[in-house]
Amino acid sequence: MFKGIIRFLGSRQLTIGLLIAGAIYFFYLTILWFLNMRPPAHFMVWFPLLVIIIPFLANVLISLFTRHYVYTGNILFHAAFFVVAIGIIISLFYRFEGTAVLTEGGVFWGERANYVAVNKKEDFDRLAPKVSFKLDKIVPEYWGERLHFTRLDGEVRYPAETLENKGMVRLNGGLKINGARIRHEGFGFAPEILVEDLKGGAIRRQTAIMRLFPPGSEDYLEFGSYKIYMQIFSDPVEGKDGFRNRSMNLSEPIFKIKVQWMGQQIHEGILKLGDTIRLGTVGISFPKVKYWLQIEIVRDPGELIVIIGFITLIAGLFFRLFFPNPR
Amino acid sequence: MSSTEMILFYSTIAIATILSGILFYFKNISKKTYLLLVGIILVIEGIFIGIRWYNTGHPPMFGTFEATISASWMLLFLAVLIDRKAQFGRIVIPFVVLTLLYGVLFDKAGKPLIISEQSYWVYFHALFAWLAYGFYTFSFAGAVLTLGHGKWGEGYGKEIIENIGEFTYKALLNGFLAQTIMYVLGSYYSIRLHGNWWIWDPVEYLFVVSWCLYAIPVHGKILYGWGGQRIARLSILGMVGTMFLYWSLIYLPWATYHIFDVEIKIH
Repeated sequence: MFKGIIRFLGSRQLTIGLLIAGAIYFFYLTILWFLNMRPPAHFMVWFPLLVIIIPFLANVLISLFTRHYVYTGNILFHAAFFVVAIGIIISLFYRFEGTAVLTEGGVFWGERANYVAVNKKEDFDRLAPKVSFKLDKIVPEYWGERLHFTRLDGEVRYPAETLENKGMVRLNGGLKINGARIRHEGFGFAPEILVEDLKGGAIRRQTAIMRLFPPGSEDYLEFGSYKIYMQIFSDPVEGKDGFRNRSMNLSEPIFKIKVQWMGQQIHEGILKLGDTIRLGTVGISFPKVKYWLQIEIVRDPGELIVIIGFITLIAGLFFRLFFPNPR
Repeated sequence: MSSTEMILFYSTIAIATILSGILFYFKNISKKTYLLLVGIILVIEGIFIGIRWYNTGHPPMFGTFEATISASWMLLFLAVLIDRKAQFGRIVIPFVVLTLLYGVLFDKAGKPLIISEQSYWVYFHALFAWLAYGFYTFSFAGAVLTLGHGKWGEGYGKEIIENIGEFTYKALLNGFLAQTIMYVLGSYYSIRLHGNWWIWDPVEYLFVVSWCLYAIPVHGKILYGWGGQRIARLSILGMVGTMFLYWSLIYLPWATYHIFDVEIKIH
């Protein structure tokens, strides 16, 4: 019986059958996407995939030993799938992925509290890379007035303790520190909020990371029983129908705000930088607008192995096509 | 598009259309004439691509219009490279025309690349995608000739049919290699862009679907010694399936991480 199973797993029929099954399964995923549906649970994606992948690897392994593969290139090509599989398994156990949000001038120390989210909370101390940096400046550039970024660079210095190295955080790659890849994946406006008492003494000054980008998007912040709804006109120009944006750049921005107290709207108006609104016994103003970046920090030891597997895959095909030496 | 670009682009379409007509009506066009005409179209379109590249600051790869320019140029390039006997021109050159005409339906204005496209990895990813498209189109052409011989009153000899069958299979293998390289480059760039080499995205699914579809005839020939007819049928299935799924990505409203045309939907 055992021999029969081995024979079946290494059979030609299974090879073709698995290729058909692979095509059908991914076609099914595509159809779900076409219907705007997603499998409700993650295992519903993984489980059928494993049902295909495990016999596939068994089929390849047995074929490697039973000398099914006639050409050296074929051996290399199929052996590459094991390298990729090893890379995936290592990634499953050792991949660290964390997200942090920083405004210009913000410092990231690499501690648990600095992350907004991490993939492996329990293993943070073991897996988190030693990364620290200061985000000095964020430089966005657009194509004309469109929401079409042609540049979005975060200038950083690292490590945060000494600031001796300079680097650039970008959407597509950019910086690598201690084996961790650092890239950004989100951007927005962060108004600075100044809370003063009636005599003008500062009570609190902080920068609020809000979802106000692209200009015109509305977000709110809560202050005691007050809710302040806000929109930013980053480069405003006044027309007949009120304010509109000339561009996405920050050039003397204004704030369109609505204030609610206990659910009742008590104020609506336009504020310029530094203008104050009175809320009870305090005054609130927005003296400055900065940019923020959502930064992703990833360290994945399996990544390199997967890439090596891919290169082997190509090398195998290349040898099969251009140096077809049969064994 | 500038007026020079317009002239070059429409000249390419016009000459390719004329060549398609010639190939359709005159079965025995000489190899020299064929290569000369293909060479002329290749050069004209090449100049157009060069000017557009200079004007936009990036290779033509952003949006469907630019993709069709590059894909059609790749077909012409492969025609000169691997079809010097003018065996497959009757199918491939109309494909060039159809590809270009399809591109006309989309926005032709040159745009700067958005950040996610600004990388040599993307340039080479796209290059190998067109190369795969080129080889698969030739494989499709070979498959059509294999299945259609005799049906259109022009039967080939057994030897020619075997040669065409061999060509179809080799073109398929080359397409498979180009598609694999395309995927690997895209996958590496995905690490830089998304932090992971695999994204659960329909474009990735479709890659696997078409990869498996093309792997079936490759394995069938090696393991079972499938003949030219069956390989031809599967090659046609692969091409039609891939095209159909590609258009689904373009026209269905659900977003993918890939940007095929910025004007159709925001991704």
